[in-house]
Amino acid sequence: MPLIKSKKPPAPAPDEQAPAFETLVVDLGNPQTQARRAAARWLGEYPESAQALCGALAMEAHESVRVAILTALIKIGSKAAANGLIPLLQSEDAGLRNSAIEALKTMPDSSGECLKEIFASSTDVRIFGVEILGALAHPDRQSWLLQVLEADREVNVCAAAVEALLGCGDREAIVPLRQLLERFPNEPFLDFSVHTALERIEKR
Amino acid sequence: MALKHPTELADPGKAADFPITVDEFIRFRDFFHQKIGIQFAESKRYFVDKRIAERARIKGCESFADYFRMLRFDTSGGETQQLINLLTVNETYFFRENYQLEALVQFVLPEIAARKRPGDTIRIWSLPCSTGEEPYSIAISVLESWPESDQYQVEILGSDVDTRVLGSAQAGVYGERSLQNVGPDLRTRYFRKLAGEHQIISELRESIEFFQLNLSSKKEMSRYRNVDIIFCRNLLIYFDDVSRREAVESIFESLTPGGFVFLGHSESMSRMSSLFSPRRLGDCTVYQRPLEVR
Repeated sequence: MPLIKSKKPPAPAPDEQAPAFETLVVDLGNPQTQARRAAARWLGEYPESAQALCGALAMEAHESVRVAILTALIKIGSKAAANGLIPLLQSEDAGLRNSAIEALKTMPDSSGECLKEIFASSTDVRIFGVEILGALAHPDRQSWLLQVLEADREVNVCAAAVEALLGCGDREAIVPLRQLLERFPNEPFLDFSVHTALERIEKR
Repeated sequence: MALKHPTELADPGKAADFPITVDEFIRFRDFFHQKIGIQFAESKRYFVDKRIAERARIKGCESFADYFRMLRFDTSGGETQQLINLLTVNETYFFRENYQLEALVQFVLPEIAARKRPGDTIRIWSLPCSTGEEPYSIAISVLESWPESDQYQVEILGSDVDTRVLGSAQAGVYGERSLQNVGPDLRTRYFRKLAGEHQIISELRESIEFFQLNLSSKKEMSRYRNVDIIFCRNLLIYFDDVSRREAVESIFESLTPGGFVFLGHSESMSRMSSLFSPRRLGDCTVYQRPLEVR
């Protein structure tokens, strides 16, 4: 029989600790991919590592290390973690940008606390912000989207909010949606989106 | 697994002999989640309450609060392990989702072997192994259907968080229901009759290493490296998002570059992580750790 029995490695000692925080932060810059990945994974246990992790993520080119950093940040889930991800929404690297968006979607409370920063940014970032809002499991999601409809000066950002409301809006959104058409009266695509959203919401 | 606000949860505990309030259930659910990464949905409330009550009575606790206090200060881990054993699902049978075992012997093992030299070790891990049907099915498939098996040292590991099922796996005794997909030839070659049941022959039982392991523990998982193939079927669906991401990363670390993961037929790695590349092999999708780390 070609089967052989494996030699079981020793069980971990009960008092074995995670590596020291400072060592792990240094290891985020280690030239070995595996060492950076290991450091990121352990740093998920340290809430104070959010800033270092976000800094490393911005520089990181390897997908497997990025994944580990994002998991650590999602696990930490603090406002510092969300805040550190927001600058990445402006990255030229689509993979990095999308990873930041996906991570922010999983942090409802912390992302909610960072909306001011997101909506004080460029049009592109505000559109990503709307995408995040649309997926956020937060009781204030709709009211935040309605604030975008009422206040954002850029029609494309408002159109993204209309699309998000198409998926999650209720009757409270009807009046703000109609008012949006008064703010942008000469935008046929917006007119179409709003009427589609209104039809969908009125049927709910 | 969607979580609801405590006030939205039904309270079946009120009607039971051993009352467990909604708040107590939430506290227990969070505690259990921290321990092994599995988070119970509202629909599991009755299942969970019943098993907590069973253990609490055995330990002579008069209330949930008494039992929960004992669990939190359970320094030996003995009682926590007893409860884990009761709360984890272990139903399986031989050659379950057999098309995956066919893909293993027809495509995956030849590809792994092509990167090795004759005499090298090929390591296959059944995680979780439950009562042993999966690792034994893997072993029988390798022996029966992979012609090159004699040229390599095939090492099969089986681990589970539930210590009770590991005892059953090592004993290798099964009823007719577990053997529903095992034909007469295989029964003759790999089983012997034992008091109306069927026991895996000793040669096979002794060739598989069974051990207790918690997939949610990075420390424990870090002990296992250089695995070529992992079967992790129908486990990750019970994990919450963060625990699932962490578990997938531990599996990635344990695999050799180019190694493969088999998931349950309803699970998709692409929905969990971008770490692996999906491969269509035979009738199933298998997930591969890239040869070169991206």
